Amino acid sequence: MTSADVRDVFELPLTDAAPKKKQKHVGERRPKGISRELFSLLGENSAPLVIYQNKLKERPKINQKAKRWVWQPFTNNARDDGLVLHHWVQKSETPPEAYRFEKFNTHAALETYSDDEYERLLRDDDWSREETDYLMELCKEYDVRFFIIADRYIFKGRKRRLEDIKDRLCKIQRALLVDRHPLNTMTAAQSALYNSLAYDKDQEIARKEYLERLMARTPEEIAEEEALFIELKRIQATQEKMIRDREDILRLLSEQKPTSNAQEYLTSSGLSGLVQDMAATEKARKRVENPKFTSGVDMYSSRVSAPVRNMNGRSLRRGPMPDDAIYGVSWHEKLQTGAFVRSQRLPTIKASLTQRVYGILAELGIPMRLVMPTERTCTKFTQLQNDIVTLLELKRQVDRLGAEHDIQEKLNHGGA
Amino acid sequence: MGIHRISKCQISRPIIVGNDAKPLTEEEKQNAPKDHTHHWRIFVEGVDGEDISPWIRKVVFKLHDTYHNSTRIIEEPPFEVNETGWGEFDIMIRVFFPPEAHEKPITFFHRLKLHAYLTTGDTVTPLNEYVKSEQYEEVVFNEPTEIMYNILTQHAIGDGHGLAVEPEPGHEFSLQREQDEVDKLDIAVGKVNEMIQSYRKRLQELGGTPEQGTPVAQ
Repeated sequence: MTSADVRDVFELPLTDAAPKKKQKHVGERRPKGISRELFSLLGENSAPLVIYQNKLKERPKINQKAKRWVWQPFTNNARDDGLVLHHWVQKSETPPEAYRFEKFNTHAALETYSDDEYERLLRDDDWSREETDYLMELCKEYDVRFFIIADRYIFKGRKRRLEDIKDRLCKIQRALLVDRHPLNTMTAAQSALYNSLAYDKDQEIARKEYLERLMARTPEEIAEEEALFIELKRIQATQEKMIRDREDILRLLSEQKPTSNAQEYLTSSGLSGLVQDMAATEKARKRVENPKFTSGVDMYSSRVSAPVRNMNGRSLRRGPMPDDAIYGVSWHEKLQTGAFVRSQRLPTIKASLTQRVYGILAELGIPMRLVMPTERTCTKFTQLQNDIVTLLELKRQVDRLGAEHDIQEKLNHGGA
Repeated sequence: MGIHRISKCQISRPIIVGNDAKPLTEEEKQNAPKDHTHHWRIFVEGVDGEDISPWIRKVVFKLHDTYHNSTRIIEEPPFEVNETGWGEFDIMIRVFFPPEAHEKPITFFHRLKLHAYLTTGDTVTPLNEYVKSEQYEEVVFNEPTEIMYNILTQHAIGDGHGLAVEPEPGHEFSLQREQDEVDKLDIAVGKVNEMIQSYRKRLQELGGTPEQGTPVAQ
């Protein structure tokens, strides 16, 4: 069955004409110098690498001799039937110790009461004597494990809540303890026990209820609580800053003392007066060439500059006063808001010119720094500086022109 | 925000920033740290004994790092720091205004001066005496807040009547002194203007106009 037959059967198209000859594999020629065996190991013919995998584990090295183990019978003294069981134990000369799980057979310390003590201390409206005895029985049997007790508890067809049971038992134990060992004679251990027996039923019920609710939260609620918690943390972190900011804002707000009563504006004459004043300030503002844009505060102040009249009708607008000078007060059209040192606001000179300017100042006998930088002296000083700069400019031009002029002269003379 | 500023109003107050220094006596040197040679005081004060605390809340003096607690904050007058030392260094002084002023603090630098010298010709001899290095400065409030305006107009400059007219020993800053300086400056301006005139004339002679930068070809 050749491929040609198969193709015929399936009526597939023929492949190209002649079936291929078996390809002859031409390997390397063995050079003359080396033996056949050696050549078969080199170059193209090298033997395949063998990776050694140790599929078996090493035998573990043990330096000791094997120990002896003995099938040992033992009894558990916690049991009361004397059952004998066996277990493997290492052979040793020492006699066997007690079974090591015996000590776990503990029982809870449960104080019981006599009739007299019951009558005196433990009477309760909700719990009859029989029920109380039944409870004590259960506690003894189930080792004061409340979950089991509460589950198995049934007295006269009535079941009780775990919290009620625990509450009753704690009350009993506590009352007995304090009766037998009055508070001031208690040892440290006893008073610790006394304190640990203080059981708050309502709080416990509430706590368990809360835990239940916590468990029953939907994922959305959980996510919401998480977000709120993060928010709280963030608020706490920035709390101090917020308090300060709030104080600042409150202070700023409280600064605005009412300069006048609004009463006067409620009358018709007052209103018309106000309208006139506002119209006047509008006109005044429009007339000013450059409205003050030096600071946002200026916008406010120009709006508020409508003359405010107090109860007496005298204008409270701040303006020049005769004694301004002794307080250093002066009035100017355009001011840039803020506080500064006068000598620090003197205009500076270009770096290239400073040296020469100072030189000229020195020649004129003026110190680089004013002794008393007042408004007058600063203005004059600035003027002087500007003049010196102008002078230097001029000098430069004159020198340049002068030099060129001289060169021209020399050329003319030279030519003549 | 509601801060009312007095528009067009400018209040300028003089203060004195400086230091004085006195060499320590032998006895004082015993009690002072090793190598200290002088007792010095850096201060910011008003002129003519003016109490500047109504309008200055605190002054912070930043001393050289080698001083313990080199940042000294003085919140009550007198705004000064008394210390002992041996070296002259720059002290940065920051003056803070009351919060109602809503102003940023202003800064001065003062080179502490301890040593006095007598320079005669080429020789310089050290003197062992009290020195004082102070500078008159003016703090200018442009458009002060209403509260600041009230504070400043309730406390006059100097001794209550503005800057002193004539200088007194210990208080050399007065209107007289200012006038002297103004006069000197006026003279200087005059001289410079004379020179400017002469240069302008020369420039015209040479054929260039003062405004032109390029020369005119002859």
